[in-house]
Amino acid sequence: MPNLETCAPLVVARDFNFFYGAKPALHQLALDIPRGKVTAFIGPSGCGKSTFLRCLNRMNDLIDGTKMTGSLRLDGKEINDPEIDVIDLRRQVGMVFQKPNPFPKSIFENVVYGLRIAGHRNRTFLTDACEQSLKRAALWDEVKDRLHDSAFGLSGGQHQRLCIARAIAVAPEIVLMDEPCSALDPRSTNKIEDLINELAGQYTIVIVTHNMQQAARVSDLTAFFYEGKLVEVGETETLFTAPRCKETEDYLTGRFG
Amino acid sequence: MTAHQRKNFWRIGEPGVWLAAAALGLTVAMILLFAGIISVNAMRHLLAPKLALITVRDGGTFLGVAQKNELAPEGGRRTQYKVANRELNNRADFRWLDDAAVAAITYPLAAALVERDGGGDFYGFLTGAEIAGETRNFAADFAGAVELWQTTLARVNPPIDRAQQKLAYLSETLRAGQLRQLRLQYAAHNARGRETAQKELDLLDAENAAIKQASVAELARLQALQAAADREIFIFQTAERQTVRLPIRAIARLTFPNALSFAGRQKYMAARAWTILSAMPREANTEGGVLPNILGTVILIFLMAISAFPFGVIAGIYLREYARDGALTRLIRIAVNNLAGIPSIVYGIFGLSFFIYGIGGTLDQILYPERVAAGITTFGTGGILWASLTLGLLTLPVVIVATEEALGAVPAEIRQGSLALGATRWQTLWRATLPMASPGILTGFILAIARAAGEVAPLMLTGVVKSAPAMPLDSIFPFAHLERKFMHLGFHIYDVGFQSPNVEAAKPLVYVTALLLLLLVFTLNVVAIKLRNYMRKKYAAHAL
Ligand SMILES: Nc1ncnc2c1ncn2[C@@H]1O[C@H](COP(=O)(O)OP(=O)(O)O)[C@@H](O)[C@H]1O
Ligand SMILES: [Mg+2]
Repeated sequence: MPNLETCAPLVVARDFNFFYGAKPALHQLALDIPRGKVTAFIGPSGCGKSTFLRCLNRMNDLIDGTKMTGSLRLDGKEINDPEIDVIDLRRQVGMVFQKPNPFPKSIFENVVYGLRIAGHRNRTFLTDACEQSLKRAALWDEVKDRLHDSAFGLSGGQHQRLCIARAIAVAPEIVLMDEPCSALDPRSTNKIEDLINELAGQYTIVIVTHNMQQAARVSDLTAFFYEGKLVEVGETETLFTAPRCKETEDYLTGRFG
Repeated sequence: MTAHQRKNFWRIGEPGVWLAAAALGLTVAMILLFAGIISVNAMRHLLAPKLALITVRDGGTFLGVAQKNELAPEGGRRTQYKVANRELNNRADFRWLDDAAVAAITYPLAAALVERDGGGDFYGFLTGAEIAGETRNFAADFAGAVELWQTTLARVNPPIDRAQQKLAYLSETLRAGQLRQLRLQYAAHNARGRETAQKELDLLDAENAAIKQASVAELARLQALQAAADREIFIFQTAERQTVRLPIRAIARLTFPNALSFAGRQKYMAARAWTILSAMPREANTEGGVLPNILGTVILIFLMAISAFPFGVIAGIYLREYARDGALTRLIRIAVNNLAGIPSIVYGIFGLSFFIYGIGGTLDQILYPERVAAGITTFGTGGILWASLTLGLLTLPVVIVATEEALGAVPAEIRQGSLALGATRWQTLWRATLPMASPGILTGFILAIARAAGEVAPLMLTGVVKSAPAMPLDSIFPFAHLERKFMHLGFHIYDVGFQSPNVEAAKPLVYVTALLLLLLVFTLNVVAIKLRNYMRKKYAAHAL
């Protein structure tokens, strides 16, 4: 594994705070997310993992009364800047949700949704993009004969892979996955994990998970959040075998959370 | 039943289950009874009756159709017969007779039932025909008589119909010409362009005079045609041995009901049903068909739908997707919900004051000042346009609420998923949320329409009439005359059932009209359900 320090990080947070109204949810965050790696966020429920993901594509804007302070940069560009184009930002930051959420459209239309709203009309371009994304999401072989059937006909695990295909179809710089397997059965979970391993290297991936084995299996780096603070971040192997902080150790050994 | 069972009986809630089942059973029974009474009574209007020849003990005979049998006030039973032949029976169609006074009842095959264009039905025995001065006998040749009636109608009526249509067209054209004349006179009076106006006026005068002349000629031709046709006559004899001569042209249907075969009865029923659907009303609406009422109702529903749907859906979208959830929004929401509960007659009053007097009156002032000066109203009086806008207003709150609820039922994940892909709010709405909400929106919409389709009260203030001289759609430019008054199935029930001069004779038609209205609403509901199922399959919220 290459030395982490030499890679220019894609996301850089410094003194970053986040508030729901007056209630602080993230406190003085300082975190680097390296390019082309899989970073896992772990921590007990309610510690702010999802909140941080939603900061990265400004989905928190949809909630009234939220506020960010400090600095959060994506590829050197400040996210916490009222002037930036949020639509543009969201195209660069793909997101996969906890509950699979395919649109009421055909499989094909689901995959090219992001491209269509970005104004792409060329049929061959869309067809190629669809095929490629589905192949990358390891779904192509299962759906290639029924691309124009409703996406609702797929299984839960296929739904989630479709959502991943949909996210990577617009060629984002980073893909955020918020507990992508928590609604899936073990077999589908395996497939998603294999997929993440496949995608690692091509994409920068951040995955939130409550499953320690999963974090260990798929991630290069792990960050442990606790009560709105980033407690510890490091190479997954190191963090799991020799945590520096007591809270991390307690969490990993199942003493709370 | 042991004590233990008795205790359980109450604890399990058995009485509650029974009560619920009983309530449901009662409801279903009421609905079936309701539909049954209307259908059975409507069917009686269609079925071929049995025409009885009744001999009374004191010697008299008459032809009649038994209507109902009940206890007589003086004891014994009595029967009500429809005896028709209004002009011979002191203008009464019905007659009560004590069953004890009946000496004999037979059903002679030769008894004829004649539906006349005017004057109600006629019951009698066909004895012969007089065609071009030549007399012909019908000795029990029922088929021959019916065929003669049909061929005569087919030969005589088309030229008369054409003449009548031409006359109507001429009078319509003349009316338009007179209105134009009025306008030019007004313009000439108001100085501007006096000379050109005068020139046009002269031209128009000549035109109108020509039309008038053509009308007079056409009328004379029509009367000649009618007089010629009226010389072809059927001769009947009543049971009382009176001879009655009826022009064949004036016979709407000739039947020998007692001689009908099984197939003949089916054909009779089909013909009666078709008359109702396709013919104009006759005799102050108590006979004939309800074609203008069906057309008026359908056009009304159509206009109401296209006026209410876009406004309601857009308002619902704004309220749910864009409006900030503040005090004002909440106030509007409460107001919309309350609007849905306002009595429909109040909408009628609003339609009258706002649409008719307000907008219609102003339109008249702007478009037709000359007609206002002459006391003629065009838009400033009730018409199908204003009635449908009023009904549209009545359905609007329901559409808004349905839209809001359908949008609210779309999972938040769908919206977030779309926004996270870089879609704008509009794109999200248009491409993801709205398709998913469309089944709910459409269902709510069609149910609201079905509800409003049967409303009568607001129409009575906004332009429904018992007999409209012309339909809102015809062959005269500009083809759609939305300012015109119209007829309506619901109002027809009220008018024929309660306002007509001969309520007893009109009763069957009331049930038929009610059945038609019921079928219309039923059809709309079936369409709503089918549409919802189809859309659900297409855009179903995924089962996860
Ligand atoms: N929409 C919201 N409004 C107010 N508070 C919120 C909202 N969403 C989350 N929170 C709060 O922010 C904290 C972090 O939540 P979250 O990021 O969802 O935690 P995690 O994903 O780690 O379980 C929690 O205390 C939660 O109650
Ligand atoms: Mg979370």
